[in-house]
Amino acid sequence: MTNFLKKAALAVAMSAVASMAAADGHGERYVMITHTQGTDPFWPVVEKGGRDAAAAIGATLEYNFDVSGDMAAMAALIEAAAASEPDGIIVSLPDADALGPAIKAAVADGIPVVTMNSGLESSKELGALMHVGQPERLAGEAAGGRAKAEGVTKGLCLNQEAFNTALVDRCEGYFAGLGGDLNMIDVSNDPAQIETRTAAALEADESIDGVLAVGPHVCEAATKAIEAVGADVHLACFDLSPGVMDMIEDGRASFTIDQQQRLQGYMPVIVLHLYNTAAGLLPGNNIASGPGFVDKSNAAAVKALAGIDR
Amino acid sequence: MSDRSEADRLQQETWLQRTIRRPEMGAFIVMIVIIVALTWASSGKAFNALGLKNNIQIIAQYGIIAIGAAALMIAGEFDLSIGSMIGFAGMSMALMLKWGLPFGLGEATPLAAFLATLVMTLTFGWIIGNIVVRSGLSSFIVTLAFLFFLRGVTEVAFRLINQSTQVSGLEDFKEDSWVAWIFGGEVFGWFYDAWFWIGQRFVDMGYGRTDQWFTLGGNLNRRGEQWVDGFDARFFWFILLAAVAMFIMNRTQLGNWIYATGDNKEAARANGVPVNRVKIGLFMFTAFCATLFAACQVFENNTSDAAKGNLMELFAIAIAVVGGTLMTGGFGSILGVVFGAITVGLVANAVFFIPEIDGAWFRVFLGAILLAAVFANERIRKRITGGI
Repeated sequence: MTNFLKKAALAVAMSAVASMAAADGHGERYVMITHTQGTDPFWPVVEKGGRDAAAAIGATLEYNFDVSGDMAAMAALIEAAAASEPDGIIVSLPDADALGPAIKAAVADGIPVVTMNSGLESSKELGALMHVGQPERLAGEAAGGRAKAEGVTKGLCLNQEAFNTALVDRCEGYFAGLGGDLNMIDVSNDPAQIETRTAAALEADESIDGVLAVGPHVCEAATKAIEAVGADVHLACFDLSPGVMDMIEDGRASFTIDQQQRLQGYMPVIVLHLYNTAAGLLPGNNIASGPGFVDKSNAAAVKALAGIDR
Repeated sequence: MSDRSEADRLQQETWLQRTIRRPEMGAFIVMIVIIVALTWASSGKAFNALGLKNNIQIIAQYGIIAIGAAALMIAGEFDLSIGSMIGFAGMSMALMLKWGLPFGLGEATPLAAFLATLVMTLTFGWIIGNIVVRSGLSSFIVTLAFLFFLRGVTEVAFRLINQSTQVSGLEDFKEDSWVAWIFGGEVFGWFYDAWFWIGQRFVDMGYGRTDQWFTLGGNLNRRGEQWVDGFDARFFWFILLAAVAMFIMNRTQLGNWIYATGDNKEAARANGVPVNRVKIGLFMFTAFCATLFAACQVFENNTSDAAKGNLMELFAIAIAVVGGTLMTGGFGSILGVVFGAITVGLVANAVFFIPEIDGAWFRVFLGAILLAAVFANERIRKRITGGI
């Protein structure tokens, strides 16, 4: 009997502590759901950003994704998260049609939602509070504008996922900033084919003097192609990897655009925390996590954090 | 009803008739058409010094796994786990090279990483083979299950051990290790050295880089330096694998067993063919081919990630079919697979040498070639088997 009373007293004490923590803005629970399939080194940085933010405010963060990459499965994860009544849901939005109903249902249930990474155009109409991410076309334009300023006259964009609209936006933006018609090739995710197809395209048109690679592994393979062809080509990249940092430091790549994805994990947690604990306090606009430029001037400093906090 | 009679069997065939009736003839014709078309469309650039190296790199890469897939298909089975096996093997080698051998056995050399990985992949091949032959289940379903299983194991291992699904920035082991060099280095350098020497002689004679001879002939890049130093190491492995497989299939008892197993399993068993051992061995062989592919990738690029090898099983099967291998087993040739690999490799890469067309058309061409090759191969098969 005394054992039971001890347990009961402990339970009462714990619930009292929990309610005090909740009153103090602590004890919040947030769920983050992204469209990664677990194969991309980009997303662990987002996840870490979210966990760091949750730790900073004393909240807990659950991170979920579906390895199949199937949008219906991702929608089911959003529905399951909403059913668990968290204090907020953070979700990437690659397909508004597939994920929209689940997000709308969560919002209708009174759960605040922040979208991040992709889905800027659809975020507001689905009822999300705001969006944290990089406007991809604008990032591409920034890359194209800088390439033009650095002397590029004719470009080539290397896209490893030709069906990914965000990557196509980067390419289209690049040519909007650079000037000229879209010249984009599907290089696949296979390093050997990235290298050989890039070399083939540079051989086919010797007037190309600028290349944009919209992924870090593509950039690494493209360097080998440029060296093999023996061409003087301006190379710009998107996103970070140790290899890309080395290439910038030794001059093989001019710059890379960093979408600063840690912010895509970190900021939504902070936004939701302030919204929940300060009477609906919200920034006046979406938060653009990028573009940030990494070039020779800051590559060494960024390199130390690449793949962890950058 | 066939028009052939007993007398036809005794007729002497000409060399041409015998050649036309070979199983790889369809693949050979398709290959020649593709080579001629791409040479013309790219103004020869698809086969200049760099074009040749790059095309052969892709051809060899596809060919290595297609030989394994074709041998298994001739025996009447499928392996859909090849792509995931590539991912698993690449992950295994990269993690060992970065974090050391398992069970605290110390630092991993390239040889140790390769052999330890090979033991694991051959074990998986043995397990798959045993499940197929002992359960009687379709190899399509069993290997589909392993496609998911191995890809999942690869992801989980990357996350647990590496906290990321990618290992990049491994040291370049090719500098110090002959093992890394034979997988990731360059071979047959003498060929390109000779090509460079010839190119220099032409330059001495007053020819320039834009002259027509150069498009096909000179191993000099835009800066006037030697352009290409050698072929990718995959080329060596592809030649070796093709030669050994061709010898086994055409000249040994094991080759006869493989054809017999695919043609009629029960008849083969009744004639003393160890059908189960043949099939298990071939599943292990496809695992070996996948490991070889992964080793070349890891040691060339000093990187690996959980998505490597994605969809490669489909390319392997497509190449085997283009090469004249019958989906139902018992018919096909390794030489045909070599021709198939050349055809598919060129279509997947050389179209990017043609500035007038969108490179994404390669998938359309690939689909069309696959169908054309199947129709051609079926006609040839009927001619060989007398319309059966």
